[in-house]
Amino acid sequence: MISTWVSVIVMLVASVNGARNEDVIQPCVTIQTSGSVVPLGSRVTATCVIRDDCLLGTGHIEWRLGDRFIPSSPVSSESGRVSEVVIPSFNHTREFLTCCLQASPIQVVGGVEIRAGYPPEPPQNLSCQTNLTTPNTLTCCWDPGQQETHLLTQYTLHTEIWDMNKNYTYKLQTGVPHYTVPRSDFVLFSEMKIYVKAVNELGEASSVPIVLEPVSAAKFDPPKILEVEAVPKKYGCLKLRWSLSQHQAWMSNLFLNLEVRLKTADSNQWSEQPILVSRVKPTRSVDQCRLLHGTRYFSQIRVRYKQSPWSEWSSSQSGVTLESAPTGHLDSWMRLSGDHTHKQLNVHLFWKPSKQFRANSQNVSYIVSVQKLPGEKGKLCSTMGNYCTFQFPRKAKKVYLSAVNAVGKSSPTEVRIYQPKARVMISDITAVPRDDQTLLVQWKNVDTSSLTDHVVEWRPLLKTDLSLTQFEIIDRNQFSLLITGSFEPYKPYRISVYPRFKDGIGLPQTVNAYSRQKAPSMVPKIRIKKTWQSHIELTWDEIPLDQRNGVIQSYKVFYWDEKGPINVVNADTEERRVVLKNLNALSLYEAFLMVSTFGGSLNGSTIHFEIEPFDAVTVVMILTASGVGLSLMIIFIVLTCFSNHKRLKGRFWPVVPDPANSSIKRWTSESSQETHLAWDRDEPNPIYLSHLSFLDLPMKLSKQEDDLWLNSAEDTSDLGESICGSPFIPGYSGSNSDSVPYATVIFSGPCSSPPPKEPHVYLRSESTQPLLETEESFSPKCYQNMATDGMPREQCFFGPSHDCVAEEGADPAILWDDFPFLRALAMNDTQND
Amino acid sequence: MNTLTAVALLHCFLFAVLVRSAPVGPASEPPAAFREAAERAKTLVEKILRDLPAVHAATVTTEGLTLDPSTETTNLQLMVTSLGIPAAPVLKPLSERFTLDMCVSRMMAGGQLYQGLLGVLSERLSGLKDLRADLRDLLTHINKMKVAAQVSSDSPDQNQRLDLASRLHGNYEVQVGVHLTLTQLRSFCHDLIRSLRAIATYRPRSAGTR
Repeated sequence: MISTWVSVIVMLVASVNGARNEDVIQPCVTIQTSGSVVPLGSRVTATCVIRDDCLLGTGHIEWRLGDRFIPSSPVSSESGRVSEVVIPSFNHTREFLTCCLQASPIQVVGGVEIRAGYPPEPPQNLSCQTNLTTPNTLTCCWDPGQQETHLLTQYTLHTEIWDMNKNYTYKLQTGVPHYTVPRSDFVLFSEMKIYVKAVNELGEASSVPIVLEPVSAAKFDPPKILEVEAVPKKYGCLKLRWSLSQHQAWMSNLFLNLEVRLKTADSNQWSEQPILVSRVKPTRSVDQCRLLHGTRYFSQIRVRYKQSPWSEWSSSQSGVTLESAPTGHLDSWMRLSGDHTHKQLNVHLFWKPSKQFRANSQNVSYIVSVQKLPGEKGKLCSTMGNYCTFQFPRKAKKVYLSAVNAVGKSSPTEVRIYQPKARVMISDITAVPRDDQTLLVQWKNVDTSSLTDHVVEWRPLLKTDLSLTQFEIIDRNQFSLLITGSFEPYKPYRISVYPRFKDGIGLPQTVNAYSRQKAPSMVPKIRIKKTWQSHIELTWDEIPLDQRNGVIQSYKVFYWDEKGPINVVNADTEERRVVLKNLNALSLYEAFLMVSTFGGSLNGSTIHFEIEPFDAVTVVMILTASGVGLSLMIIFIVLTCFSNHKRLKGRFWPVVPDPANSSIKRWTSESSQETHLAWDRDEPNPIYLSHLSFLDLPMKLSKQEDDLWLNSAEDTSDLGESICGSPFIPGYSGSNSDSVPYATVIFSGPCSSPPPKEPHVYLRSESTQPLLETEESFSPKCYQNMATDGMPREQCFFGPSHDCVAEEGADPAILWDDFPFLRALAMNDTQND
Repeated sequence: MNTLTAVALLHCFLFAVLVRSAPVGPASEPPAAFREAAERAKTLVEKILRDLPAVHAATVTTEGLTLDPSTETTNLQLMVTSLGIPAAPVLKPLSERFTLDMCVSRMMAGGQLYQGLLGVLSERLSGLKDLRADLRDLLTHINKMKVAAQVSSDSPDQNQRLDLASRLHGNYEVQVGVHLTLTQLRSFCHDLIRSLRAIATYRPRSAGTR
């Protein structure tokens, strides 16, 4: 429709111009179009008329749009050549349409500019805001629309103030979708209509008008709470006195809308839904009721006039509601500790407010008493805290817990004393962090039938303050609990689950948990405990609890030598030791410890060590082996020596008696008996007895007799091995006599054998040798030579052996008669005794 | 029988009370539009009073010309005469002699007076336009009050000709003119506040016959 009108107007204008120009200059070419500004994509028609009287050649008329020819059709006309072109869809925002004559080269005879675009969209989202600071202004803004019109679009802001009967129009800058109306052009408390109009060559459009009272479009400054106080005689009520900001105090007469939000002193969050107070004046205070008694509340307010935007929240002010006596009961949890065999039990009683509990005061204390009725008698403790420790009251099965404030006392909560029972009901307790503030505790229970409930208790491990202990009582059929609270990250918490029965409380299961873990803060230093062969044992201390930052997941020892690859050994987290095996001797090794928690790992410092080829253990082992071998060898040799004693002796130390320096001496039977007993114990089965044997008699007896004590000891070597005869033996007269008489009795058979029929042969001898005097400590009291089968002829010293004595006594007359010297010796001995 | 009589008498009595109180209630209350306009007017007067010191400080720079009456040292009575600044209409407490109509009319006249003075002065000095706009707003609401209270538009003080413009020969006259206008405006605003408060609580006995 618009385009039709435009084309008509253009035609009219063109024809008028033509008529006027007839008197002056007649243009040779006239181009008429359906419109110079058209909607984009619309149909455009144009006509080119060339007067006949103009000498412009005879070529056909052609059309060009820009530099492109477009098909056209000739129209028969009387006045001249006429051509018409139709562009079905004009898709250029701006293009020249030219009329040309076909010639060489082509002659342009005329042209027109055609612009295309879209009519403006109505501006959207018009909104205005009043600025109440000096100077007062009213700023409106809008959204001009997404579509590009491709045509110059003019925006105007229109205001109509009905009270003043005035309209204002503001021409707006292109591309600036906002305008600020000066103070003189609006009335603060009068409604006005505001709209934005957009106009271009293809049309105009207006925004949806808004009607507002400028003050109702003002965002107020944050108001101020002057005072928050308790309302006298009204429990749970607070009175707020407030005002507008100093610059806006002149509006204190207006009815304003107010929103109040409150929070208790120990809360972090404001009430979700602010309380709306409509039509209030700052001159009047605002009462807020249905609040907790004796509680400090922080409050903030914000304000608006009618539907204006809310102001920002005011600063906080606090006030305390009136106190009343505490109400509701307390949840409690009692743990016993100490020696219950001696009845010296400590009771730790923890409590917390139940959902129904109201302290109704800022200062509340708690009294634990064995008596239900309040009073000093039977009071176990009184505290402001959340726990109390006292001695187990004898004969008491219950205690009573009450909350007390300045106004009164709550009804007592009955607390049963549960006796500890050695019953394990809980197993597989786990605690997993859900987020930084939540831990999921799960456990299993073998038998819930005897249970009344579970108690989950948790506390920070690094802090000893019992008031930090928290608990939750859980139904017996529930096996998990989401515990929330301000868990410090990287700090251990001990969580225990206790089973409670009707008659007592069972043994807890405990787990340590972290809300968040990270790598430990330190790594213990590796110590070399011992080294042996190609092994080394490394050990280290436990990480202090406050530096673990998580549950130790693993200890890993990385070690390597100069050539070899890096080896990793896992260590038991409890033992904290590791044995590195198959290490090369003389290689320098390096090692470090990596400690991991579920939150990360940390590497310790590197240590260096070397494996010695001979360590103490090896040396000891070698020495031990050598010692054992040597001992075995010695034993073998000794045994061999003993078994072949005679033979060896005979070979290496032949016994040479010296008859010249020997004489016969009679030993008493006592001495012989004594020696026999001793000997008999050691050698239970002597077979042969022999004694001095002089295989070769010395040739110069007289000379030896003279010089025996004067000569050196070498000279006596020919005496041979004088084996028997000790100075301690009774009957031995001493060693200082000039000569010692020796006698040799030669047996024809072994001592133990039956006495031979034939008489023994006696040899008489005497010696000045000290004989056995110097060897007294080493020599046995009696000496027996062990005869072997290889010795055909045995000799027996006549004194010491019973067997010999017995044989000797068989026929003494014959013997002594044959040896007058021996007989004289025996007689002298008898006289000496 | 006695009971019926008693009930009938009680009915008659209650009816009489209702009949008597019915016209008094709504008629004695000023219309809501009037009250609302009066509230708005009062708020605007408060705003003018709040803004006056700042406007004075911004426009009057001559020493000795202050808004604070205690420090006022110069007697400008002759200047008032020479500049031809008329006195503001007198606003009295509402009474049978000084009716609501008279009061509202005088408010209107005073507002127009000062708007005219500020209009003349703002041609010579900047910084008075916002105050003039506030005064215009005030007049709008006083006019609303007039309309709501059906006050006749004839007023002896209206159409007072101002020849201040011709007397502002120099800057000093402008300064004194601004000072005197603002000082008088403040005084008039105080009167306005009092009158508007009185109007809010005023219950004319003859309201029903208006």
